[in-house]
Amino acid sequence: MATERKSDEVLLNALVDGELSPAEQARAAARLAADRDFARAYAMLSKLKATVIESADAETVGEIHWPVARSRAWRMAAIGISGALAASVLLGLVLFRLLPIEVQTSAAERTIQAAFVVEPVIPDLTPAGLQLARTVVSAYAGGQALVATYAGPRGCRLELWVSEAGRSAKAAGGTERRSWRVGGLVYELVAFGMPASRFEKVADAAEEATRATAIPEDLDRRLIEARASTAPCLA
Amino acid sequence: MPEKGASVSRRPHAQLPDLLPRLIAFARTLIGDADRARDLVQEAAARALAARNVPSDAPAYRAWAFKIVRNATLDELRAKHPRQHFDAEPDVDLWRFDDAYIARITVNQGLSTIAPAHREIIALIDIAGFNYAEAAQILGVPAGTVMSRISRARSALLEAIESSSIRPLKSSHGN
Repeated sequence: MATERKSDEVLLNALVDGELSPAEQARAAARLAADRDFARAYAMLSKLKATVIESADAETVGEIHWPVARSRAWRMAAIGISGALAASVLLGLVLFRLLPIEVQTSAAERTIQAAFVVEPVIPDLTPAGLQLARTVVSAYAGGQALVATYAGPRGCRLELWVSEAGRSAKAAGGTERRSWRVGGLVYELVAFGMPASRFEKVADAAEEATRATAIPEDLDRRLIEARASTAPCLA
Repeated sequence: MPEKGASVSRRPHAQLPDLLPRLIAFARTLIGDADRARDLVQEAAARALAARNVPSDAPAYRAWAFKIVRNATLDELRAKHPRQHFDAEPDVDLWRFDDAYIARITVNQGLSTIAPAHREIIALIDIAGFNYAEAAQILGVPAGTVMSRISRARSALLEAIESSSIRPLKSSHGN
């Protein structure tokens, strides 16, 4: 039974990827029509594939310098400079000690659900170059706060603190901060070393995302603008 | 027959600019850092232009370019995480997952937590758009291995999405 299910999984993935022969496709189509679980798994894998492709399409290419073919001496020099740049980037990464990505567990999810009557919204700040690095539920004297940490590749770090109104937590440190209230929750966004003008744009977008019942149409564009318009972070 | 030397012509590299977005997305998926991915692809492009043996036909050139970027990203991953087994492939069950949590933010988060070998096969098939035979050639494994690996990788990604505490909002533009 388990072997059959594994074999079905492989078949479904090959179907989603267009890797089946016409005869195999016909058999799979008949199975889709007759087997509800099979059809549900197919729909899920199709959605997953489409979302992965969409997520790659959303990636901004940024500035890439087209390397011009030159003489061997020039090429060797270019490789040397590239190597030096790569070394400096790596050194920068070590110095800035980027936050490790933590695997979220269903236990964490249950903790959040238990800690909050209203479920907090964690905005997607990827278009601003800020990856969600971790989320933790932190206890303090008045209650519990959900702390989402975002990290960028050039030293940017943001923390979003979410706690219940009336028992709100106060985030420590940071160079820029903004707090707002949505329903029964207080959000506080804290930046470490981010230029004020960029922080304003990111905070506007984050606040709007937490207030919205749907993601605003132009959110990605505004976050990308916030990323492109200012200098690297200092933290 | 591959053309030799960059001095022959730049024509073999004509498709490189068009490949850059996918090469960057591929590298970013593997190393999880968009800016570093751009740097790696830039270095790989310089290496490609300096190469003596350049594949002359388009599909072979594309596979070759991805191989260069793959090697660069693997070198970096191994240098940063020397004790991580790149080929480790934990196995999970596809049938119990719910598609309600699949969205860009959860997929991005999930991709950053699954095993590198899983990230790689998803990047090759879905992001770079290679078919199983082409992916097998790039990885140096049989096509059957690619079939089973992509299946396990997607199940692992679904597990990462479901076990995360991040839940997508309903979007006004379909996310």
